[in-house]
Amino acid sequence: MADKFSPISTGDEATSTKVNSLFSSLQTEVNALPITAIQPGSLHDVHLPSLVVDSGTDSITGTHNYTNQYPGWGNSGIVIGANATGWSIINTGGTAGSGTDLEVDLGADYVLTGSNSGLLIMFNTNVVALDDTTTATGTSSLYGLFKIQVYANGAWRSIQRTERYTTAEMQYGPGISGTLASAQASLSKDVPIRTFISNADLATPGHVVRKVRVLTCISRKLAAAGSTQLSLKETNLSVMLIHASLQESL
Amino acid sequence: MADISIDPIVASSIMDADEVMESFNGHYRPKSLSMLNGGLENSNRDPSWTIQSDHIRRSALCDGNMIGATGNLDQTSLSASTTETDANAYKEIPGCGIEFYVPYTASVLILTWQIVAARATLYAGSTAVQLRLQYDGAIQSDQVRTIPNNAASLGGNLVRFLHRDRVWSGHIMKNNVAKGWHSASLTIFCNALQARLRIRNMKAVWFK
Repeated sequence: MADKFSPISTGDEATSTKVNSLFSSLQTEVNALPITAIQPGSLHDVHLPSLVVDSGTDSITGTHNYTNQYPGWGNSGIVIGANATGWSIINTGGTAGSGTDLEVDLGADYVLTGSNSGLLIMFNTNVVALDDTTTATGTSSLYGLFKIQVYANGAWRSIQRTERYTTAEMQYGPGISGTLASAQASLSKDVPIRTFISNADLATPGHVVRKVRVLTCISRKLAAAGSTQLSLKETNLSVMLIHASLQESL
Repeated sequence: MADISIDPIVASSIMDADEVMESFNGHYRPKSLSMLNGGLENSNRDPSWTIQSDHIRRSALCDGNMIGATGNLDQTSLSASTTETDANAYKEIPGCGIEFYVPYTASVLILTWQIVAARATLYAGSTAVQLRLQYDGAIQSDQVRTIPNNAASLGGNLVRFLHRDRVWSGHIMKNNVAKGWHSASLTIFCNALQARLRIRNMKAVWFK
């Protein structure tokens, strides 16, 4: 830096013109620092903004039950009501949707381009039970399903690659004590989802994101309609919009 | 902070030493070269180049810590409280607790944990094994997990169903976490004869 600086020689007159010229050259130099002026590792938290653009978290602690049935891969239809075909939004009121949705609303629209690289999403739920209350033959095949939805450009969009399954682990056979229901009641399984949503995930309908929520339903192969129920308890969802793009243009 | 903009000394006048010193090291920074002393910001950068990742000090914008353990860790009701509501009924699990120093007010802190847990009790049994996360000593009500019963009596023998062992995980997100030391730990309440834990990890990641 200051490679153009020429000091006033000993014995020379220190005129205002010369002093102004010195200050001016320094000012010009400092106001347009070259890349070599910044030492590697010299910038830290006081110099740079947060990587986090926005974030939010939501949770449910009580039990919430679901009975709607899986509509098939790629189908994101949502139904309100019991034992229908379609997904349910995870809600404090369960299938009826009568409570509050598990949802993170960032409170503003964010465009997932440039430095707003994407949404880091974390979801956990405690599956306390996945019951088939009528089947007695051990042939029932039950799964609980979950997937993430992002509110983008004014519409909810499913992130299909986040769809997760968990089995009911139905227990039958000699030696199983207690009723069928009691065996299933202690299912207690973890369903975690971790994902990062970039603009590539939202080519349609668009990259303007604001909210995130989670859907759930049951897939039953042989169980009778109306006999299955998925019970969740501790459930939480966290979302963070971060700067994470790397632009090494030089 | 704006670019440096030094007031020129009036031509053909006698220079005032204070005026010159003000331009060198005045407190009014944009009018002095004192900005060189830690006051330079993005506006001083020549716009022809962008800040490179190697300009940023390691761990300056986000950092983290992790703890884990290997081997089996057994819990037993013989040395535990019989009811969940007893004081100190939940005990911290060695290897699944973490203390960490956040060097600035963190806009976001994420804690994640993973553990494998199993027990050997009859389906019809009434014993309980519960996990619960504490952060800075406070119970996190959405981080409670149960280890299910997993055995049946077959011909007088106790048969374990290994697929009923559980891999549990969880996370919490905290905003505006104060600079300083913080802690988190997974705790267990066990009134079954035995529960076996295999700890994976407890991680803390924070962002400026």
